[in-house]
Amino acid sequence: MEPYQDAWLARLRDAHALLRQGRPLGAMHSGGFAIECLLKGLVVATWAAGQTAWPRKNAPGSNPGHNLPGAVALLPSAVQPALMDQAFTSALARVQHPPLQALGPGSPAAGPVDYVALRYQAVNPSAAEVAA
Amino acid sequence: MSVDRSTVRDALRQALCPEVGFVDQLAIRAPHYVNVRVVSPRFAALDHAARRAAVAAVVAPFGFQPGFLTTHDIEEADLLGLVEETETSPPWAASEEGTWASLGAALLNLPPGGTAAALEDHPQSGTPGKPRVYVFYSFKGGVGRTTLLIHTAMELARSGKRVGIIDLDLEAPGFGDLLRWKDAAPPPVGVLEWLWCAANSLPSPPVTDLFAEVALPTDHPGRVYAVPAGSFDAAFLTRLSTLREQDVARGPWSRFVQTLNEQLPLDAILVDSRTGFSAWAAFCLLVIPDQVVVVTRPDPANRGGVSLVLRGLASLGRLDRTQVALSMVPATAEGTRRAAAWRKDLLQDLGKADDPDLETLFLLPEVKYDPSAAVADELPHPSFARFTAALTGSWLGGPAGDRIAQELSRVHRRTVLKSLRFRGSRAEDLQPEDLDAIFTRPSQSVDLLNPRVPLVRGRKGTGKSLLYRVFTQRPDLLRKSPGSGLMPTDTVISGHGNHDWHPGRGSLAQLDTVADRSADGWTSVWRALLLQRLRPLLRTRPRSLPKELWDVLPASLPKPGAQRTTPARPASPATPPRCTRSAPCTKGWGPTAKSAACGWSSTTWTFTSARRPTATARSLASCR
Repeated sequence: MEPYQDAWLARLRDAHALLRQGRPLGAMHSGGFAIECLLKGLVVATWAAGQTAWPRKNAPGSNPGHNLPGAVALLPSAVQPALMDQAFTSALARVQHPPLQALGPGSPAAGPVDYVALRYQAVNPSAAEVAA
Repeated sequence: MSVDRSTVRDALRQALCPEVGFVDQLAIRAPHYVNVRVVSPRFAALDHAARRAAVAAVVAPFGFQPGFLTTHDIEEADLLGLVEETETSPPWAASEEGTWASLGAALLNLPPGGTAAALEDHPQSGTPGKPRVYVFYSFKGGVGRTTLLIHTAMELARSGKRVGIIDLDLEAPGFGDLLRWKDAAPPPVGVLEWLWCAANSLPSPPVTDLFAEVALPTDHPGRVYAVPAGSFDAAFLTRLSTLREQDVARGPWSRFVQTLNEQLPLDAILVDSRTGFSAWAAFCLLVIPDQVVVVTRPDPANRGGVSLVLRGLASLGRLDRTQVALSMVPATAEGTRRAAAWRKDLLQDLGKADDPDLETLFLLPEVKYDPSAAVADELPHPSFARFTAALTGSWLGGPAGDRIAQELSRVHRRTVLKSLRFRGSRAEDLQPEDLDAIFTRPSQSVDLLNPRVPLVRGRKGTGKSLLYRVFTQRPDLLRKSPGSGLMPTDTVISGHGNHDWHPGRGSLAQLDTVADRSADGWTSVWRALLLQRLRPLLRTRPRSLPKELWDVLPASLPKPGAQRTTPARPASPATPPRCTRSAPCTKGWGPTAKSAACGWSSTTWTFTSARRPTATARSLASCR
């Protein structure tokens, strides 16, 4: 089992370091993983004692991969109300699919580029987009 | 165990962040978890497991383990922009309210989590214009909860009330099948669809599509409107699996009640709850009710669950709004005994066996098991009348008399008085054809006439069992007592005999046939049985005794009863027994015990017959 709780903070530090160094694209990439690790860490924390691995693929509760809303959906209903408000869901959507103009030409035909696919991008977003 | 939250917080502060950092968002969760956020410089070089261990070491002396932990060092806290929260709860802290966890916490006497803003619509206060919500809950299914709910609604309608009944047994719905609709069609939309749309911020279907009026007997001036769960289709399953009761608790439910009440002003809403410890059951039991009726059968399967629920409700201080209904109690002495033992055990579980106030919890009469109710075509079935009258009486403020006064206050008294018709000033002057107009049949009469119900009258502890024992085992003592009325020549016979002979299936069926044909019904059978036991004293079959009966009963019954104390006397026509009485019987197999169905007044030791008077004596007189 991956140490999600430690990894999320490590990726967060990476993201901040990249941002400070003027590398916002890398920060978005790393920040997406930070959030992914945070959510997965929360999910794992809710597991019953004794469960140490994700259920097999396609079974209920299986690893959501890089799907951030999918990870949220695995959290217990007690925290759902806090996570389902408009501000949170739209922020999560921006992390999942950074709305960057520069990604247009290079993005896959399947849809908008998500934070994982940013690793194949080279053009840093403009200052205005970063501010947004 | 009661732990002050601030004590735990201070310990964490002192151990982990005495100067820099902070401890906040601390909540204690049943059974023994601490959820907390800690920002400490000591965490800088530690991974999450080590941080968890550090927190565990601090909370362990209080008997706690770390639950959900958020731990950061100072740098991480700066990165995340964390600041210490003042003592307000995070948005999700309140979500424990109205769940089984809150009941568990209350049982352990733990402090509530955070300041926990109460759920929006908890509790329904029954304020003017807002109908009171009565929830019928049962721990196990199949105890007659829904049937009781429907009958209670009808009883309220009989008192002129407008009642809404809502099926919130969403995971096993179906009270619509028990009802007859006034307009022959159930509503097209169910409560699940309405709540699901509301919880997902979608336009809800019109509330007029949600309910339909239930057909009632003509003498019920009130109305019953039923809101089923929904029609069984694929959409029902999808909605059910994606609707969380917590989302319903925050707004949609109170909007639903309000909308329903605006459409058809209601006096009361009865809710059919989910069973057991399901999340929807917690919603029904803890979030929405003004009053809870816990329906249960007095059997072992319900014992533990009902006890835990009641103890939890007691911890929340809600027992005064809770009533327990014992349903499907076998209509036998054993059933009654079990029901009584149940009440006693549950009160002991609550730790308040001696608290007279708590007896209100069990004030409702038992609902006797009646197979005919299960297949009844017409509702309401009379076997629920006693229960529903008592229940609604307790809700509407007092006995039936008060209710009548309440109803009368709504109409012009002169009109009512003019409408009354009296057929005669003395009942004996009336025509027998008017029987139904003269007499009503209280539910007790059903018990009295039930041949399987032995009846011994007398308050608890007044000596019914002692009397029985004395009569059957030591009649000599009674003979010495001038007040007993027992003459020296009297022979005492135990009502249930000495277990020497029990009728088998065949003879019971034969006896049933005879009893059906006889004008006296089973009375003649018991009379015959008693006479049969005196057979050594009789030469021939008494003329009052049908030959078939004489033949059915075994020829070789034991000698006359009370053999242990009274020796059998030789039959002698010159000295027939002066009188023979059966002793009151609370023991032995059911039917025979009817022969002892005579009332006693233990203070005067005289018979006060609650059934046909001295059947035995009369039969003896006729056989002489």
